[in-house]
Amino acid sequence: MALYQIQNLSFAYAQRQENVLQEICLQIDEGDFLLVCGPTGSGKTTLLRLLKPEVQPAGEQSGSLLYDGNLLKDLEGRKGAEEIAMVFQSPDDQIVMDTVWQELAFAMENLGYSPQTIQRRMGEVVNYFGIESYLHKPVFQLSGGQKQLLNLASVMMLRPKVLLLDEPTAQLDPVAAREFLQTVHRVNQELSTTVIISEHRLEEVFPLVNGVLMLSHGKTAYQGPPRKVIRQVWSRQKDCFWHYLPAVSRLCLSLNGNDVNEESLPLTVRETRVWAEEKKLKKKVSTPVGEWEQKKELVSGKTGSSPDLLACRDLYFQYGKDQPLVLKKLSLRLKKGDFFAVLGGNGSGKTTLLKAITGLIKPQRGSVLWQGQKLKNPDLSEISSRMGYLAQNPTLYFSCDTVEGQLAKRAEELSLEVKGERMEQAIDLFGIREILSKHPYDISGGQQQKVALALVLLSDPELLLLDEPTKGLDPLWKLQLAEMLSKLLEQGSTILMVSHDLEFTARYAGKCALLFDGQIVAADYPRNFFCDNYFYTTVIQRALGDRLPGVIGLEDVNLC
Amino acid sequence: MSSGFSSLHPALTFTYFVVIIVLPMLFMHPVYLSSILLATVILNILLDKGEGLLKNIKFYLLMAGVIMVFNPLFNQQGSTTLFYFRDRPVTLEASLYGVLFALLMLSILLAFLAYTRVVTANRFLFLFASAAPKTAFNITVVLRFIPLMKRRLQEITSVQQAIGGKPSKSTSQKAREGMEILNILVTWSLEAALQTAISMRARGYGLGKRSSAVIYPFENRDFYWLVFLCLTGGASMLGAFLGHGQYQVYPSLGSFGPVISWHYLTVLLFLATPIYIEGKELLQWHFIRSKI
Repeated sequence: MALYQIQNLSFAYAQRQENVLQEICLQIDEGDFLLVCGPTGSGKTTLLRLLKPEVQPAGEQSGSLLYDGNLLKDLEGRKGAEEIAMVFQSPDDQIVMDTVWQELAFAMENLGYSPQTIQRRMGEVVNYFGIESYLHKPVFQLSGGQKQLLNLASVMMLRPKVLLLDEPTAQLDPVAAREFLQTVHRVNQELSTTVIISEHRLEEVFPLVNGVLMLSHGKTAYQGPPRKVIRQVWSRQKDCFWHYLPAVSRLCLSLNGNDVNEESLPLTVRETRVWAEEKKLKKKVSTPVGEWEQKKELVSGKTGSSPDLLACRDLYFQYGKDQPLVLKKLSLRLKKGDFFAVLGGNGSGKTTLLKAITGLIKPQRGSVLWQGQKLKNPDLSEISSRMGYLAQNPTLYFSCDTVEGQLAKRAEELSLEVKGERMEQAIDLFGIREILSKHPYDISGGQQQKVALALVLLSDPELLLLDEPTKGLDPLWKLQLAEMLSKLLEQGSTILMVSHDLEFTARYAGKCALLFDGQIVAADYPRNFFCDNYFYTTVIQRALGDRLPGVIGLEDVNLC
Repeated sequence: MSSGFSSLHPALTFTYFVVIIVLPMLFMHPVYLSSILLATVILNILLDKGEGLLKNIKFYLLMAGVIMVFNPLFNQQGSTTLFYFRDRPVTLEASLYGVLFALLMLSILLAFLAYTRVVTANRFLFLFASAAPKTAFNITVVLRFIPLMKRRLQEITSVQQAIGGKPSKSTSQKAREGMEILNILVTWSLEAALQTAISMRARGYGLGKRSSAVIYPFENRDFYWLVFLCLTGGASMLGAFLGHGQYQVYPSLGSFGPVISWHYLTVLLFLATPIYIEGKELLQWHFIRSKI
């Protein structure tokens, strides 16, 4: 029995002409796991919110939308709240209460359940999701991953039939995201809860789902089982959805797409290895080994005579007397023109490192050298005039009503002499001309990031510090970000990025390092770095590293 | 935090703290006040090994010191002049009154410190949730907002500091910057609150009468302790109205009289209740550990 039957669903927001969704036809059965993907602004969130009466946006709706055989709008309020659950993107903003315990009870309290029933269900849910260890903690002490898991557990308290997830892992690091998606998968498999998820992290979701819906400008672009959709996207080469497919599938298709039939199309590393074994892949591909070997000598040699732009020497830092050391004898050297990426898990001290460099915090021991000069008792304005720091959350930069106003204000603060000219330059570089008159909160996350980056760059910093710039961005935005960064590098900027994003780092960074246990444990060129790693490396390298030494990304294989 | 005295029903602990905060205001007697102060100090030490006490002790001592110094300087009542300070008499009575007043303030503050440890927001809400569930819920949300805003403010400030390129600032620029940070905070919080509202509605908020999941069962021992606390606490307060626990300071110091009376013993019994419960538990643990 179909749970949702959607026929020719179109939707336009109130007081807007254009349709956000057009002619969507969809049938979702009980126990389905459906992935909705597409570029930012393609209507994913709108579609998801239309499926739950309480959170439907205001606007004009046409076509039919049936839930459980009846019109969704006729669904009784209580039933709607209980049977259709939704988890949103931001882990923080959807939490209402102060402690984990209260948050879990919140939904059932709203529906007037007795304390005994609530406690009993909480006992079940806490065990199922493994949150015993922080049940009584205040919410703000949790990590992002724990918060999102709490949000999931909190809606599961009502035993819903349908779970709607709107980019639930966009704000999480890869490890937490994987854990979250595995939990969702478990819920789907063990409880047969229907799951509809919109995601950018497609590498991990594709193997879990049994249906994919790709949206483009509110219209269905592709629809069907995952492997079928991948084949279809490939058959129409150069489609923007190509970048949304799992790397291993793309690899397999671009090597010999015509031979691959639908069933044998690999989605995971394991399947790729089986496929490569069958194809005897080894002999067919030439790899850029020669170039790689040369570079290796470059980085390990201590002969680099050009002076460092920035050097950190033996930094030690802890947040309090009894707190653990976040940075332990951390040393780092940055040359002019570098694009240096620092990788590391959550809580490994990446953000702390950036703060120490900008002078926001003062390390207990060690020093930060700027062009060989010690920055003792750092005078913040003196240092920060040479560095630009882009925080994780771009909205923290916005205080004006329009993007243009924000840029103008910043230019004025900097008392730039060639104000207009610089602004024009930035607007062109980032391609933000069409959103100049919009409110900074009304544009997409990727656009916000561009604007924030433009704001930071107005002061023309010599060193650009980026804190997780790819967080929550869809694959196309990542391409755009990479393009902008390479333009900046051409203009002579130096970039230090801290990130979780292995694929992005592997492809674009000039050097990278692993921050672990408060110190840099490996610093190398990306190709050496990722080839030497076994767990902490790109999907392609994990799948084919032994067959094709030196290959870390798709573009390395395309040579043949 | 739910062992010993804290594990009693919130109604009991709440009553105890109401009485112990009122008591010092009823007595003006050095022995009574010292006893109350001593009891609150011991209770604080038993509750959290004196952590909260150590953290705030500078403030407490400073405040007590100020009262003790300033009362005799500004209050010239009393008949026994000790010395003259800038042509104003400093009397023995006023000095003693200052000491008593400092004792009173300290006892109330320390009792309140212990109160925040024992009657947590959760327990307090439970007491009033059944009467006004919606108000209780609103209080929880508001209470959460204050530290939330503080954390957000910190984040914005550090990001704004690090954006780079800003020259050194004058005072007016700093003030304008402060306004801007506040502006960002408000916009951000409104945006976040919108999300929170959607997530609340998605989980059925406002559909019907709310219930409360918190239960603190009223056990037998709660009943016994309630009777005990009501008897001793009631008698202590009643005694104060009958004239016990008063010591004459003005115009001249009165005679001390017999301190040990039925009333003083009742007060001591009342004061000692949480100390007895906490201490018993502490000894138990100590005993078990030493056996192992």
